[in-house]
Amino acid sequence: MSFTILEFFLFLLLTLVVYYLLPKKFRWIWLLIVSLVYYVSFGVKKIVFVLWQTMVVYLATRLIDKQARQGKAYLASHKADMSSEEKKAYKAKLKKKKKITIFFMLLATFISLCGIKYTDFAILNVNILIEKLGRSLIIPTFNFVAPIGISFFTFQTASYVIDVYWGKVEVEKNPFKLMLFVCFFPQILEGPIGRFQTLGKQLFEGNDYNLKNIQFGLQRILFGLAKKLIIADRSAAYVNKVFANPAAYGGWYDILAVLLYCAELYADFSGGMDLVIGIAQMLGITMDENFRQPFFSKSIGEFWRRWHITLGTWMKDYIFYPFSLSKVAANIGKWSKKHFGEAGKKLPVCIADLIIFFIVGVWHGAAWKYIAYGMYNGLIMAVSVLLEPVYKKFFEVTHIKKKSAPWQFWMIIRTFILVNIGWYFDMSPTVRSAIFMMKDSFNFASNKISLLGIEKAGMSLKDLIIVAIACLVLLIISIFKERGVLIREKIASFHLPIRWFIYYALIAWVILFGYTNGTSAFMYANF
Amino acid sequence: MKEKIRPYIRCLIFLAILAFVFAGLDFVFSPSGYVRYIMHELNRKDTNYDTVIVGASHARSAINPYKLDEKLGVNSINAAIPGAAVDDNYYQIEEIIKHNDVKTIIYDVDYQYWVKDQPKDNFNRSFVYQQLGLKTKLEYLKNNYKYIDLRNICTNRLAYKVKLKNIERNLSVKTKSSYWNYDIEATFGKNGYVTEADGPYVGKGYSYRLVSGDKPGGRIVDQWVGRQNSDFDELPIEYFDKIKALCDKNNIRLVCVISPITPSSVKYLGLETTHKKFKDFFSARGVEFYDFNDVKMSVLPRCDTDYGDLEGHMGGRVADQYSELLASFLKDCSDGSYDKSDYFYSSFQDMYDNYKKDYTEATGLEWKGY
Repeated sequence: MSFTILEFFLFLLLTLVVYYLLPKKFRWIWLLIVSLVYYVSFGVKKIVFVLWQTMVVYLATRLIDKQARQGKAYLASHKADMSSEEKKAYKAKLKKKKKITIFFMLLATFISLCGIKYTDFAILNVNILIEKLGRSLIIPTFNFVAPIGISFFTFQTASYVIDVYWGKVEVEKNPFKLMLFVCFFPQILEGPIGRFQTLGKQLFEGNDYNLKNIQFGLQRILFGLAKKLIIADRSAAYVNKVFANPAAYGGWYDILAVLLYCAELYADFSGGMDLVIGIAQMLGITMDENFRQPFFSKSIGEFWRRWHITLGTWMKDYIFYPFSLSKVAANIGKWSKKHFGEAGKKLPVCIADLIIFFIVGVWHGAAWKYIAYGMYNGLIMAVSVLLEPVYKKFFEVTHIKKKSAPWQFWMIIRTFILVNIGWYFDMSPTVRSAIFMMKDSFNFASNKISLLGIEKAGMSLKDLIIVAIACLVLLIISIFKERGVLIREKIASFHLPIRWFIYYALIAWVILFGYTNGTSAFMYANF
Repeated sequence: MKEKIRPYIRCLIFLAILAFVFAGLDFVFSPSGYVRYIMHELNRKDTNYDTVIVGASHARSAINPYKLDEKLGVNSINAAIPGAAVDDNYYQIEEIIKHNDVKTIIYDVDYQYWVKDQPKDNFNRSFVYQQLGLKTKLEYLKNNYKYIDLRNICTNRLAYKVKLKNIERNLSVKTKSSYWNYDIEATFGKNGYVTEADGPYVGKGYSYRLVSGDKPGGRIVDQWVGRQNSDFDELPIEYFDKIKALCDKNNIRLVCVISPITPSSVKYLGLETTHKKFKDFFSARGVEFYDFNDVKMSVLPRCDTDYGDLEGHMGGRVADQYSELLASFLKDCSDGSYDKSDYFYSSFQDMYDNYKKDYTEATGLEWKGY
């Protein structure tokens, strides 16, 4: 069900009307029904994955909770007759038991994601290896089609399981409520990856009707559609054509393709988020923001704190910190300090960065190019950590003021360039193709850009101008947001005629310049 | 209470103004199109057409309704719209029969709109919708809610040309009385003809296409190679059945025809396959069907250069002859005096083998191809 077609708007209208007409205590049931209907609209069979995920998570968290409660009760009842050693031993035994439980439960949680997304990738690589060894055995692939949003709801539910294990959230005893948390319809396609402690309560409690929520939600949806239809869909044809056949282009064509891909990806993903957050807001639900002006980042690390924020915080909370604070990391730290001195202390952080970005790469898709994309980012982060003393020395010697505007501006430009280099891996069909395209981007001699050439690659001059102007508007809005201006609140404070004029202008803008030749699905819905 | 209602009144005012904004956008950016003209012509209160020709661009250039009127004593109109698919034709027919006492529908079938690999998405479904009456519009939305883009419901944006010179032209056309009176002049392009008709407008939906012989359009025909072997899409089948049901319900004679395209393209594309498919399809539904692609050269002499292009948009001269032939043919069919061998080759192969020679025999002229 595409977001621009009549069906979706009728669906949304019905959802809202019934939601607010129902008594509060039944509203979550309605949300569950519409979420399941929405998911089924992408294929009936795919619902099995949602059911499986819910069942596994429900059983896992109930078991973990039961173990914790039993442990506490046992300790309480034997408080007097147990020595402190016995208590310690019991606690250790209980912890081990819980660890085993969570290990198998996380395995069950991730098994469908890994099985569907990565089995064929693994088989293909094994086949290549077998071929290299001169054997003729070929293992057949399964050609699984991943259900929509599987990466998002798997990560979301895994966070809930871990939080229950850590005792951060109360276990949800109603499996249907849990199912709603798994498949809440606006976010199931492409996130944001929500946390149970913030999202769960809002989903289950039934929210008060507030016209402002409806108005602001609609504004957000309109803004998202503008990004998606004007920038993303208009850029897609050129980007797809150049990346699919880089040998036919080169030079400025490639550079333009990467820049347009950057615009497309940002407009598509953040536009999608605007839609999701806007729809949720109309239901009185505040979702986590997934973007915070990422192109104002001054380092790759900061970029990942501003881009796909919920994935970044997930990685930080469930991979980075647990690893960095683990015994293994401490031992590595000790060992590296012994061998490499003070700089060696940073090694565990570097390893954590590499692990995280390996997972980020794999999360994006089952292909070496995504792993290369992840590792590219991970390596930059790791090297930056290791080179911190060198940077410090550099600033001491050069007397460059880190806070000065020119230096800050340079940092933003530098990060933007580094981010765009990463897109080569993300968008190219293979790693080899990405490297070829990177090299060929500087082949200015053989391939001078011309308007005719751009047109042949699927983009007219008019398209290019429209995208450029839309990006400029987006940049101006981002500058305001970066300075702390709440755009929607600001617009709401204007006199009614001005306010309405802005809304009408935005609607007209979408109608006049939204792409006509077809609206593609959201890019991150494939993950 | 007043304070509580005020925001909702504001919402209603906002939506009302939005409707004006949409209308304003259409007024400025949407050209005055042929569909608007022909749908108005069909729905006029002072006319009553009993015979309606429906189809797409091939039909519009091929059938001159005045010839049918002369021979059959009917009041016919060519309601064909370039680009109209079978589903568009259905809604169009539904609208036409509301305003006319239709006895016969001649449905010119173009296989391009039936085959599965014909590109189709939610964007090229909506142009007829803009000109439908409210009731038919609601039915259209009911049947297409899964495909139609919300923007296309509100505006005629697919026809927009956001260029200064187009805006100037639109405003100049739409501020004249001819636009408000639904005169054909309001649909004329720069050359003074209806857009893509390539010839003077005769009336009743028919333009006499002038043939220059320099527009072969061969590359487009190349793209069609192999399409004749494709299966029919489910959507045209579904909508054709609806057309059939509509005709049956209203006691309308439904005659399906294929107007002949350029002979060399018939051969090049192997249209005997299409002929067979349609024959089986219509026969299974008990619908009259006549394919004129293999009509004898002695009956309708035609060479490629009699057409505007290789795609088969008929030039005015052959179109007039073909329209007369169609009228006689339909009369023969009604009288029961129809003999297939009078009109058609014994087979498509027979036609491929002899059409050039037969053309020369019939006209004394050398057969000309693009």
